[in-house]
Parts: sequence; structure tokens; C-alpha cells
Amino acid sequence: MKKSNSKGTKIIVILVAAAILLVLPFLLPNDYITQIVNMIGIYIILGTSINILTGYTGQLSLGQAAFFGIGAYATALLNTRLGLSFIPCLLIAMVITGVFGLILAVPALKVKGSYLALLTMGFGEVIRIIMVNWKEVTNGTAGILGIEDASFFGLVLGTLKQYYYLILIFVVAGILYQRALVKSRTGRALVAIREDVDAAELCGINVTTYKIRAFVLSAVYCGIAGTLYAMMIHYVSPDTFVSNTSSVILWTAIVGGFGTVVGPVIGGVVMQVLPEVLRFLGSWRLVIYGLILLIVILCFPGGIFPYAERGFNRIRRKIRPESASARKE
Amino acid sequence: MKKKIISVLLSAVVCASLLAGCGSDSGQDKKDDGGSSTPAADTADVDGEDAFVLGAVAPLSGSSAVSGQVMLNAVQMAVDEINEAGGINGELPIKLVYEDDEAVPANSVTVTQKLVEQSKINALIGSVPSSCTLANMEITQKAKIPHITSCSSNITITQQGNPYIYRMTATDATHAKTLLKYATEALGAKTCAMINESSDFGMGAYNIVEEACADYGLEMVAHEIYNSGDTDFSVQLTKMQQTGADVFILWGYYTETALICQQMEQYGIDTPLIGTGYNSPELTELGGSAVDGLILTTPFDAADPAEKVQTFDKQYTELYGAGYDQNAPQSYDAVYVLADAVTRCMNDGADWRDGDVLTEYIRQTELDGATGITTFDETGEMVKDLLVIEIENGEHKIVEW
Amino acid sequence: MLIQQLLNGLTNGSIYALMAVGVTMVYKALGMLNFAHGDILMVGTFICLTLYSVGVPFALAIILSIVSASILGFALERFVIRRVEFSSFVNLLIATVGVSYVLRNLAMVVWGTSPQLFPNIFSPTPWIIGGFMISPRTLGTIIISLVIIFLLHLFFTKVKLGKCMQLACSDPEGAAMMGINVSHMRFLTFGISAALACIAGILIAPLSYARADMSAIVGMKAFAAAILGGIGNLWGALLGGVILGVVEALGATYISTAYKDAFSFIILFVVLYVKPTGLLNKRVENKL
Repeated sequence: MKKSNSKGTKIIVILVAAAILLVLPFLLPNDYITQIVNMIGIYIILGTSINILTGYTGQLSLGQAAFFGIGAYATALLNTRLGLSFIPCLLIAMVITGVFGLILAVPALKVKGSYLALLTMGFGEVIRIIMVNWKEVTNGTAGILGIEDASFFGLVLGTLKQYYYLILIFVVAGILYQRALVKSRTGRALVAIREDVDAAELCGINVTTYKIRAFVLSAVYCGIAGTLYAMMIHYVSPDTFVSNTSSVILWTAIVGGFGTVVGPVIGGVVMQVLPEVLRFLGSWRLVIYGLILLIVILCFPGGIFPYAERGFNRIRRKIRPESASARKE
Repeated sequence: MKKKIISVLLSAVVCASLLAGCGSDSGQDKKDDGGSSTPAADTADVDGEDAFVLGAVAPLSGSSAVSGQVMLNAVQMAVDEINEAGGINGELPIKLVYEDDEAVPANSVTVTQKLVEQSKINALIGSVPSSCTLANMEITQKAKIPHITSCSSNITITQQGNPYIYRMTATDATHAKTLLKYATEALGAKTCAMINESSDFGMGAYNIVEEACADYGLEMVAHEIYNSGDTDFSVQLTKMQQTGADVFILWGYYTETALICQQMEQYGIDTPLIGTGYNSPELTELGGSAVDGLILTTPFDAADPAEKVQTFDKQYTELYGAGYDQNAPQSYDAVYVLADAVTRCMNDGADWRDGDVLTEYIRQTELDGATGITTFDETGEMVKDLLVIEIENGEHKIVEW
Repeated sequence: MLIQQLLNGLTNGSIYALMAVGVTMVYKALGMLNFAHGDILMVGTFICLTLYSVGVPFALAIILSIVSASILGFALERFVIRRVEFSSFVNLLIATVGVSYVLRNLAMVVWGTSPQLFPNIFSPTPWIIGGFMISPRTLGTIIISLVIIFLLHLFFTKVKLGKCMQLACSDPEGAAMMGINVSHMRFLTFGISAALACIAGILIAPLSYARADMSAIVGMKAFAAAILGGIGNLWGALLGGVILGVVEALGATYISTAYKDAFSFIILFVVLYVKPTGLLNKRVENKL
């Protein structure tokens, strides 16, 4: 009886959440806020990408912005040069970023820790330098203009509200896929690699294959985010895909809670909303922003979510002690 | 499982409430502009209903903050002047709202969106980096809001067929024409070597200069590039020197230019150096005696004895002390161009609130300001003659030739 | 021209080496790159410039700024590193990235974003010897870097305190058993590392100006140099720095100036792939 009850609550909660997410654009006062919400969505996808790679597999990356940028540039080029529409752009961008993920994975397999951090950071920097200097293709720092609105099955997106739903689909799909992955055999293998590579190897886990899969999957997530970004902003330029963006992506996952499914969601909201809320600070804004993030990392080393979850459970135990004891059994 | 769903829900609620908080402050966008001494009270008390709401987007934090602050200072100065005189046409006060885009295109789009949606701006000035202007001009185009960029010089900005965008800074093509004319006519150069920054600013210029060289009978014998932030130019300078070019053309910012001049002096290279992009008071501070003899082109220079120039120079220096570059008088004039267009609108009984109407009035601008007479061509490009300046003992001197 | 470019490469290389030494010391103590290293360099440089501009004699300003940089290094260890150390490697690393972000933006607010002229310690006017140009600044930079690295080497191999620090870093448990206060030693390591950063900053600033973003690319080069040579190895840092400087100069001359900064990373990728321990190290540092 208790079980069906909790199942009922679960369904209600999912329905309420879905309802809120579906009507959200109509509750937002204007396009500025919608824009921020859309950027939150894109950063949730980016945060999820690094969550898979670093949070679950333990492979630190400081170069995620490069994959984000490759996805965005691939879409921009495919759309403006070849006139491809959203779906082919997305698919090709996913393949291209996946290939780059594979390329990075090859040297990355050999190193770990700080070496890996620097390797990925260097990779990001090399990609940025190429974006700036390979003028014939990337149009240099001027970037690529005139990317068309996303269109598929005869439907052309024009407003930010419509983009909201497009991004929402990918955010939900991305999170659900991540959740399925984590619960699967692959997910357990990835966590085993994070916890102890040697032990994982001894258990018969093919560390190399799983690490490569994590790199490629993480890159593909960034590719999706890049496509959505390019189609929504209609413009890409190298100064969006700098090492600072890589840090923001990493923070997105870390602030929410590394290695948790909802961590990137919380992180995406915090990382995008905080700088906007702090606008009143003027020139001190970025200093305070950095300090807040630093304090979060120092005080909640595992991210906000695990602490919030613990606090939430404590409250619940106080309210309904019998359900907590039931859980223990 | 359930906990997770609940926390998703919670975060959605937190998100929504935070955003609601973000949105609710619309209409009170007045802000303390971080240390600037301008009394903002006059502009801020104005009711949005009967004021011309002017938006400004510029990098105010991050590494481009200086250029953004200069632009904003000049805009603020013009707005205050107009408001003290009773507003546009003596009746319509200007309300200035501005946002920081950190020189990041995505942020530029977001804040422009904010200005358009929440502050309901009637016109926009900004941003400084070309990439930001290229990104945010789409927002103003969609919202049909006239948009003047007083600092971004990338040529493609006015080539998008966007009827709402105007540029009030000299493009590389304008600079290149004056420079090459000077090189051939005044210096008698036959060959040139070019060095430029690897950014769109530098590379765009390179393509233009290379094309224009033929028109002036000049041969480009070497081309070198460097990245913004580079400190060692020995490779490029040695290569350029070996070609024996008559003149070096430089397209770069003052930080690198000062270093290039110093290193040319170190290596004993005395080829004349001409170019643009580095017109800043900091140049002589950083470069010292090494920058003497350097030639640059600019639409505005404080050495110009014209009355409007001198008034601007005196006022800006009094208000903000620190130095400024040509972006300041251009941004200052941009406000007057808008005020002038609105005035003409009012006199004709047209509705300046209609962006389509206002943009047509801007196109017919013919305004004598701090940067000389400003007119626009059909693409929104400023048409103007440039000054050639030589640095002599750390002072600017207008070159007559 | 080749020899001239080699000389230029050596100058930059010696500065990279000096920074790499600081990076490598912290790595040994912590098993981690300190991503705020370049920003400590920048803050130290600005403190020196500020003191100098208010009338403090240059030599004293240099000493005071080195002291303040070490205090910053101590503070970083005490208030940040020590707090997150036991949570996870990723947290440790991201915390230093966070410190870097805060310091950089703070510097932009305090000292502004425009580059500022920094006084020369050595004259930049070159001597021309046999057709090559070498400035006292080039020579001075190379000599100071070499002397400092040599002194550090002596300190770590001959002086008792240095040996204790060395042991505390390479074998904390063993050191603790021998009665060495490991935490004190680590504290000291951060201070010395920060002081080295400050010296490197003062050497590089006359060339690159004092600017809030000077840390970004120089800092990354320092990491690359440290890893290239074999991290934790003083001579490796020197070798890595010099190789990086020379590769950059030659790459810029003979391939392309635009991709100058990319060369150093590409070299790094190749070395990491072929010999993940770096050029001079024999085994992989297992500390994470």
C-alpha cells in the first residue's frame, strides 16, 4: 500500500514538473528572460556532457568549450555554406564532435589528473587558435553570420519561445539518456574507472573502450549544445569558445553536484542566473560571482545537490519518521 | 528516484522565481555607474513615458572594459548636455540605460534583448568589439530599433542589408585609402610591408590594403601577423626589414604598437611606420620616445584647432580625467545624431517612436559635430575625411601634405 | 636569423622555465597544477608597480612585492587548498581555477584593464656582437633564471630545510615519521613557489607590460613547460621552458606567426603521447 502511495506521489510530481516546464515560456515576462532560460538549457546539456566525462568517469576536462565550439561552427558552416537544415546539421555536428572526442581521447588515455587537465585545456586553446586563424573556413574572429532559424518537417522556428521547446526536448532527452546510462552496466563501469582504474581493469572492465566512449559521448552532448546555440543566436565567433567557457561548463556540473543526475540542472540555473542577478554590482560583478562560486566549492565540496538532498531527508525524517525507518529495511 | 524528481521540481521553481525576480526590476533600470562622477539623477527620474530611452551596450568588465567605459563616458556626457539644455528639441529628455556585455557575443545578445524588452529602448548605441555588434544587431533589427555602432569597424556590419544599423567609425577601407595615398604621395613609397593583428580587425584590413595597393601603384613585398597579446615581434620585424620595403604598414592596437616601435628602435630599423588602430593617449605613455615619427589616421584628433573639437576635449578631460581615443567623440556624436534625427522627426510631425521612421531620419543626417560633418550612405556607413597625424615628442601633430 | 631567433627563444624560454619551476614545486607537494600560479605572478607584478609608482625605491619595491606574493601563496594554501584537499582532486583543481578567476577580475577592478608600463631592470638597448643583437635585458633574464634555479637546486639538495621540504613532498608519510612537520613544509613550498612567480612576473613585465590578463597565456606556457620537461624535476622545468621558447620562436619564423601559441601545445601533446612522464622523468607520478 505504501509502495503504491509513493508511486502515486511520483507520478503527480512528474506531471506537475512537466506542466510547469511546458507552460514556463508563457509565465516569462519577456524575451530577455526567455533568452536566459534557453541559455540555462544549453548549459544544462553542456554540464551533463562534462558530468558524464568527469563526474562519472573521473576524466577531468578543461576543454569542453572546444567541442561546444566545434558543434556550433559545424552547424554554422553546414547551414550557411551548404544550406542544410536543422536535423542534418545536428546529426553531422554530432558525428564531427564525436570524431574530435575520439581524437582527444587518444592522447588522453595515456594521462590522468593534472596532465589530463592541461592536455584538454591545451586542446581547447589549439581549437580556438584554429578558429581565429583558419580564415577561409571560419572567417576568423569576425565569426559566421546569417545562420538560418532551425527548421524541420516544414516547421520553422522563429521566436525564442519556440526555441525553448526545442531546447527543452534535448535537455530532457539528454538527462534521461544520462540517467539510463548511469543505471546501466556501462554506467557502473564508468564509475568503477573513476574510483579505481586498476581495480576496474582487474574486474575485467575494458578501461580503454569505456574511457573512449565517455569522451565521445561527452563531445557529442557538446555538439548538440553547439548546434542549438548556433541556431538560436544565428552567429558564432571564437570569443564565445574560450577557456573561460570551459571553466563555466565545469562549474556548472560541479556547483550542482558532480556525479549526480540533477547536478548539471541545478548548476545550469545557478551559473546562468547568478551573473544576471548580480548585474547591480557594476564592475565588481565578476569578482563577487567568482567569490560565490569559490565559496560554494569550499563549503559544499560535492556540490549543492548532495547537501540539499541530505537536508531534505533530515526534514522528511522529522516529519514522517516511519517512512524513513521503512526505507531502512 | 523520488527525491531526484522533487529536486528537479524544486530547481524549476527556484529558477522560475529567480527569473521572476530578474524580470520584475524592469522599469527601474537606473544604475550607479560604478565610480563615474556623473550625476545620474536627472536622467533617472525621468518617466519612461515621455522620454527618449537610449540604450548602450559596451564591455564594462573583463579585458575590454577600458574601451567600453570610454564609450559610455562619452555617451553619458552627451546625454547630460542635452538634458541640461531641456532635452531633445528642448522638450524631450533622454533616459540612458546601459548594460555590460563583457565583450562576449552571447552576452551582448542577452543584454540587448534585456534593453529592448525591459527598458523599451528607442535606439541603441554599441557595442565596441565587432563580434558583439555583429551578434546583437540582429536583435535590434528584429525589434526595428535604430542602432548606431560608434566603435566597431568590421566591414561586414553594414553589408548585411540591415536598414537599422549605422556606423560612426571610420572603416578600414577609409583608413586604407588615406594611408596609401599618404605613403605614395608624401613618402614616395614604391614597396610596402604590412604587419597586422591576426584578429578580424587586422586581417580584414589586410585584405583591403592588399587590394587597394594596386590602385596606388604600391607593391606589397611582405605580410606578417601577430596575435593580440604578443610581446615579441623580432621575427616579424626581421623578416620585414629583409625585404627592404619603403614603408611599413601597421594595423594594431596601441599595446602591441608601442612594443613594435620599441623593438624597431632596438633593432635599428628606421623604415617609416604608418597605420591605424593605435590612436590612444596610452600609446605615447607606453612607447615613450620610440613612437616618435609614427603616422596614424583618425577622424578626430585633439590637436585639431576646430572649436567643437576643443570643447569636447576640454569637457571630457574635465569630467573623466583619463585619456580617450576616437571612439569617445564618435560615441558622443552618435548621441547627437540621434537627437538631431528625433528633432527633425518632431518638426515634421512624424512619430519618432516608430523605429522605421526614425531610421529614415537618421539616414538623412548631416550633422557638424566633434568629429566633423557626419553623413551616411545608403548602407548606413559614415562618409567622412580623415586626418593624418604624426607623433612628435609625444604630441600629435596634424600632417599637411 | 636562425641564431637570432634561437636567442629570442632562449629569453622567453628562461622566463617560462622560472615559472615552470614554481609550478613544479607545488605539483610535487600536492600532485596538482596550481592554476592560480599565473595570477599570483600578475598580482605580485602589480604590487611592485604600485609601490614603485608611489615612490618606493625600485629594489625595495621588488623585495616587498616578492614578500607579498609569498603571503598570497601562504594564504592560498591555508584558506583554499587545505579546505578542499581531502574532498577530491577535481575540487582541488577547480578551486585553484576559481581563485584564478577571482584574482584576475579583482585585478581588473583595482588596477584597471589597460596595460601599464613596467620599469626595466636591465637596459633594453641591444649590443651588436658579430651581427647579432643581444640586449642586457635578454642576458640578464637568462642569467637570473639560471642562478635562481641553481640556488633552488642547492637548497633542495644541500640545505637541511630544503631536504625536509623535498622529502615532505615526495614521501609525506615517511617524512612525518621522521618528525618533519609536513604541513609546515607544504606551507613553505607554496610561499616559495609564489615568490618565484613574482620574480618571473617582474622579469617579464618590462616586455609584456603589467596587465590583468598577463597570466592567461603565460600561465599555460608554464604548465606546458613543467610537464614537457618532466614535472617535479627542476632541471626538467628548465629544459621544458627552453624547448618551448625555442620551438615557438622557430615555429613563428619558419611556419606561421599566427599559430605560434599552438605550437607549444602541439609539442606538449606529442611528448605526452610518446613519453607521458615528460622528458626527464623516469616514472609516472602516481599521486593524484
